[in-house]
Parts: sequence; structure tokens; C-alpha cells
Amino acid sequence: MVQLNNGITLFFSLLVEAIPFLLLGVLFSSLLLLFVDEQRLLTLIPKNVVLAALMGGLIGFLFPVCECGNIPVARRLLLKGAPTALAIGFLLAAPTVNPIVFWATWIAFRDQPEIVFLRVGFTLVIAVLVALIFSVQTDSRPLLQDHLSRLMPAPVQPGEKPPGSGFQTADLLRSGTFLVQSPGQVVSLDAALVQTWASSSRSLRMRLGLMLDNMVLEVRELGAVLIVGSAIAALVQVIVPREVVLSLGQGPITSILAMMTLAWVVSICSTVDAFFALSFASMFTSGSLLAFLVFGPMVDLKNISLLLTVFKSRTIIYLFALVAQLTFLLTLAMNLYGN
Amino acid sequence: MASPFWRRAVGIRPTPTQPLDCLVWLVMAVLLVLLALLMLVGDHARVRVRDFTWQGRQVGVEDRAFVITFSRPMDTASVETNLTITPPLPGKISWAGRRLAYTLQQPIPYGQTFRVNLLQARDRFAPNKTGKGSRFQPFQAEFSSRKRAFLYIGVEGEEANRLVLADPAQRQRLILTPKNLRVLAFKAYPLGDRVLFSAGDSSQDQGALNQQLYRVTTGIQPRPPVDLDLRGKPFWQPGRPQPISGKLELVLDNRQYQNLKFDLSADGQVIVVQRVNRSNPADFGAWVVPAQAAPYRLNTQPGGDFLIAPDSQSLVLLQGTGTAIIDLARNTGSVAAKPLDFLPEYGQVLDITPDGTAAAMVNFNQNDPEKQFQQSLVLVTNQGQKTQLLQVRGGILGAHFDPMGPLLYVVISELETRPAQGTLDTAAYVQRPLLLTVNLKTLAQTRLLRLPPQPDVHMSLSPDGRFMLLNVSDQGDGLKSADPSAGSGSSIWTLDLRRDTTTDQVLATDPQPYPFKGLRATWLP
Repeated sequence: MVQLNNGITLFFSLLVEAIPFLLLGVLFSSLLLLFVDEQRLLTLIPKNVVLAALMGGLIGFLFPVCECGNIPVARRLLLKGAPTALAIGFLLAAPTVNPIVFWATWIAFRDQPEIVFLRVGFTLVIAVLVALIFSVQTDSRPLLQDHLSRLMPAPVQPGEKPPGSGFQTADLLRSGTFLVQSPGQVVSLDAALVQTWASSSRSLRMRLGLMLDNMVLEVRELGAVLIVGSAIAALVQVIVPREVVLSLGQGPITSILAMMTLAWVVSICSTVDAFFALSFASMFTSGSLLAFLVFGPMVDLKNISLLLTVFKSRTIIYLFALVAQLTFLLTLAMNLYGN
Repeated sequence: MASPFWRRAVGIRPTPTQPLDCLVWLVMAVLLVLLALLMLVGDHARVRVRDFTWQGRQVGVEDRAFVITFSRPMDTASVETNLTITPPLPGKISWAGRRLAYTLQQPIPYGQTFRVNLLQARDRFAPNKTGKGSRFQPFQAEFSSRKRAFLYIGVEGEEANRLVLADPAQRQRLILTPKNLRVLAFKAYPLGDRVLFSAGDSSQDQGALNQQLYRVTTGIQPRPPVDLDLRGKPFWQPGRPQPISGKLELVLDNRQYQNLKFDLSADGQVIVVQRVNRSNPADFGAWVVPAQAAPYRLNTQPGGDFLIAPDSQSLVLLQGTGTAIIDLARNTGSVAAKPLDFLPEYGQVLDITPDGTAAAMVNFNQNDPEKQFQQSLVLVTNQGQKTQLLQVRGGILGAHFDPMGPLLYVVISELETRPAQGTLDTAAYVQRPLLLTVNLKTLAQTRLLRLPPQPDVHMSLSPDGRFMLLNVSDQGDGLKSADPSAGSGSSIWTLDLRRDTTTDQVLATDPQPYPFKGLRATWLP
């Protein structure tokens, strides 16, 4: 009975903590969908993959979302045709590299400022490296769930003009299924219907209405998934208590593993995790605290279900494995060589 | 070809190999090798002290603890065994994570330099518990306590009516205020770098009625661990200016209101002044002068003598025949707020403990005909407990809580009958002051020093509780006034308050005179 109570408390605390940020992410996603012209967005993205990955990592300063809110935005970026490097860079870095999280970490670790700056630095390095690895995949559709890859535009080959860059009538020259409404008005049935309608509509009122509809749609879709993810995270925490995770070890190496496992299990939001980590500052090295602060926002148990709405499971395993190894490597180097 | 079992287990459908697959496996293999190499190389991190809050600082009695922060969680026993302070400063060690807090058991003695050494220690993850091959970076640091110095109002020659700073160790003096100001009262700021004083124009007869409040710098450069004056200031604003002595600044003029008496809060942020409107004497009361805001009238009933409590947030004000405790922050509106507390029996507050838990108060026994002309010294705690410490026929002139132990220094005046001298003279009463201590635990009284007959004695206990200054009239005739405005001379004596550590008792010593004269000699904080 006590365990059931604990489980319910944990479940609701995770949900209450995550839902506002999911709403914020959905809001940004809808704004991107209806108010940002995809062609303009694509022209702003650097051609160089390193710069694109770095830009993805730094977009968090414009969209301050935690790890629950970044998934809808990353999904929208991919659907808008943004390069994989940018979307992955954003997905991994945005929950940490944003002003709210920076401020919260500063408040918690003011007397250890290196934790604050290394958290941002390590996150950016890992996000950019993983994004670069994923950028070898020019066609991101095989990485995504089938229902999303169907909505994605085909990748642009070198020397080829991006779709929509020519005359409007050129739409009919592309492959796919189209609905011809009246002369000059062609609706692609491959794209999201809302997006297509929005792009043809000029009325702000209509756009706002569509934005609200899209928000409701995304919240219903992702909110349900978040509830399942939170329930799983709460269940795991009841079955495997935090003390068991912490008892994995407190040495320079084992403490990193313990804190990474703890970060994965507790699934705490990146905006408040610094205060949670602060309570372990007396027992653990700076490296293991950083492992918690860097790994947790990128990978957590609650978000697997959300990520599964976007990526195939193979992609998620790759993401988790690379992020885990890189976090372990950087924080271990800090533990073994840092002063 | 059938997909491998693990792919089926995690729900991965067979898909053609993508360019990403090969690269990810390759990178993961490389990272695994790097991790293995890193682990094989072993732990080379140096363990060190990251921060020591008193490093190179000059501390005072208000600083009760320093904090040492380590770069890693430490083996606490190894640190506690090896930490040394020279000369010794008794204290207690407590831990909060990687931080060690050392709380002094007694106020730090002034005028000394201390060295902190931690030459070896182990972190919690150290493989070698014997301490051999230690990777701890030895730590050494120094800090000092503030120098002893006192202020007085000069009475002789160039110093007459001017504020003077004295260095008792070097026996040197420095005049802080200009000739044209006649200093009446003063109070030093908490770090001793500035002094607030009231002064009138020395060319006018009614200087005491025309006093204005000024601030003057002493030239002392404070280096406190925490500077209250700089707290909250943005980093681009200049810090403390270079110390110059004698830099004068007018704090409160007397154009519309006469200034009568003032007090400065313990944190140096609030001044309370008793003022009266020049054109409307009914407009009389206490004003608050905050450090960063305009002065305002404290909305409460007018009162008499007052002092600001050690918390710097409340005022202890004599109202009617009792003492009211007034919140300085809440009494700013148009409607007078009720006092926080009112103690109807006590007509004077002589001193309050620095932590605000107890006060030494005087009961004039006006409601008890049997005790007429007797004064009682009572210890009143913030829990409402009242303990009578003394009852004297005469007056209680002053009291100071001892920062070193459970003692209260008290100066009382006992009435003595002087026999008639000659045929035309008649017998007279003279007040003979006496310095004594009262042990607050046992209530035992110890007489320390009898002083020549005089109506008033000014006593100042050094912040560390190790020395006392006494202003004693040198006229020989105790009936002569010691009022500074009367211009009479006054000797400054110092007492070395050596004590028996087993009984907490101060050993009586002979007072030593300073070779210069002055009034209201008071130690800098």
C-alpha cells in the first residue's frame, strides 16, 4: 500500500512537472508550423553540417523547453525539412542549453561555477558530435516512424533545387498525390493538411484558429504518451528505489554509472534537476554530478514513449548509446584528471 | 534472411542497412576503447582546498566561523586531525557536504595574524587509507583580526572638541574632524572605516542645539570576509574607495529640525535620530535615516532615550515610564503601528546581547515606596524571564555584556556621605563609582575597581572582551561636571581583563593610564 502511494505520488509529480513544458513545446511547435515559412527557415540554416548541428544545439536559447517540450519542436523541425544534424542537435541540447536551465543550475551551484559552465559545454559537445554522426544519414526518413516519414519531403540532392523554390505551378511537376482545387491552387496530400492550408491562408485569425486546433491535436497525442511514460518511470522507481541505484557505487567510476542510472530512472525535468543533484554534492564527485546533469535531460525513462512517436526504436537505441558513452567519457576524464 | 533475435525483441523490423548503422557501431567501439584506456590509466585527480572564506581577510568579532570548501568529498577524520591554526583558536568543526565550517568558541582576539595549515588529508575515494602517496595539495593560508583602535573627543590643544583616532599599540593619534566643528557624540560604523558623529559650529555658543550629523572616514581599509556595504551592488559599480582619513560628509542637516540624539544600527545601514521641528516643538520624535533612501519620521508615540537593537530592525525606545520595542520597517505609514512589545517596569535599557536574546534593564522602582531611591538591574530575556541582578542605593551608570563569557560588567555609583570639612561646610552626599561584574549563571558579584567620586563614568569594553577603557574625571573633585561641553579634562585608563578560565572570573588588575586625555573613549568595533 505504501508502495502504491509512493508510485502514485511519483507519477503525479512527474506529470505535473512535465505537462507545462509539454504545452510550451507544443505551443512552439504550432508557432513554427503556422508562422514560420519553411523556405525562409531552410535558407537560414547553415549549409555546413557542423554549423547546422551547433545551431540546433543553440536554438534552445530561443525555445526554452525541457526534455518533454523539445520532442514536438524537433519533430516539427524535421517535418519542415530541417537537416537531421539540426534536429538532433536541438533534441539533445535544448533541454539544457537554454536560459531557464542555465539560471536554475547557477542558483543551485553558484559556489561551483564550473559545474554550470561544464554542464552547458559538455551538452553542446555531445549534442554536436551525435548530430554530426547522424548527419551522415542524408535521408532521415528511415530513422523516423513510418507515419512521419510519409509526411517528410524527399531529401535534396546536391545541385537540385529545393521543392517549391521555382514557380508555384512547379508543384505539379513533383511526384506525389495532389488535390487541384481551382486554377493555381494545388494542395499536396502528402504534407500535413494543416500546414498546407496554413501556408495558403493569409488570415491571422484563421492561422490562430488552426494553431489552437494543432495544439489540441498534439497535446492529445503527446500528452497520452507522456502519461504512459510517467507511469512507467514511477513504476520503475517503486520497484528499484533510489537508494538501490545510489548503492551501485560512490567511487570515481562507479559513481558516474550510479548517477547516470539515477538520472535515467528519476526522469526529473531539466529545469529543476540541478536542485535535486545538489543534495548529492556531499557524497559524489563533480564528474558524477555532471553526469547526472548532462545525461538526464538528454535521455530519460519517461521520454522513451515520446521519442517513439518520432523515431524508430533503432534510432533511439543509437541516440541513447552514443549519449551515454560520450557522457561517461567526458565526466570520467573530469573525475580522473580534474582538480 | 531472418532478423536477429535482439532486433525482434526490441521491436526493430528488418530494414536495409543505412550509412548511419556502420558509423554508429564504429564510433561506439572507439568510445569503448577510449573508456577502457581511461579507466586503466587510473585516478590522477588532485584533491585541494577550493575556497577558504577568510583567506587574506581581516576579521572581527562579528565573524564567528570560517568555511573551507574542498574539491572532493573528504575523509572528515583525516581533515579534522590535520587541521591546525597558529596561534590556537579554539573552535568546533562541522561538515556540510564538501564544506568544513570552523566555528570559534570565543570572539577572535584583535590585533593578531593567524595561519591555517592542512598539510595532508584524504578524500573519500582515496585508495590508500594510510595517507601515504597522498594526492592532497597541501594548504596554507593566513588571515588577521582587526587592529585595536579607539576614538575619543579631544580636550587639549589642537585636539580640543575634535574627534581623534588612537592606536594604543603604537601610542599614535590622528585628528579626524576639522577645527570648526565641535563634536558632541559619535558612533563608529561596523568595520571601523567611518564614524558617524554629531557636531555643532564651534564658533557658536549654542553648538549643542545646532548639531548636524556628519560622517567622516578614519582611513582604515577594511577587508572583511563579507562586506555588507557592497552587498546588492552591481559588479560594475566601484567597490570601496581608497582609504583617506578625515573625508567629511554631511548626513543630516538642522535647517528645519533640530537634531538631539542619534544611534547607528549594528549593520551600519540605519540611523535613528531624535528631532524636533524648529517652528513647531510639538512635532517631536524619532526619524529613521536609511543608508540608501530619504529620511522619514517614525510613526510612533514620542519617547525619550533609545537605542537600536542588535538585529538592526527594531528600536528600543523609552515611552512614558516603560520601554517599547518598535519595528523600524513597519512604522512608516500614516497610522502608528503597535509596538512589538512594551515593558512597563523598565525605564532604561543599558545593553543588549549581540544575539538579541537578553537585555540589561534598569527598574527605577517608582511604584514601590519601600525601594524609593533604589535602582534595580534586571536581566530580561526574549522569553520573558526576569532576573534581578543588583539593587543599589545610588545609580546604575552603565552595563556591558561580556562577549567572552557569562559576565555582565556594571558601573554603579554608591552614595557616600562626605563629612563636613571645617565649620562652614556641611555634610554632603557624593557618588562614588564602582566597577563590578555579575556572573549571569551564578549571580555572583565581584568588585573590580573603585573609582574617584564623580557623577558619571564612561566605560567601553573592547569588541573581543579583553580590554576595557574607562573615562575618569581627573579633577580630583567628584562634584565637578564631566560634561564634555564644560571642557573639563578627562583621563583615559585601560584595564587588561585577564580571567580565570576555570571560573569565568575576571582577575582585578590595576588600570593603566594613556598619556593623553579625552572624553567618551570608545573602542572601534
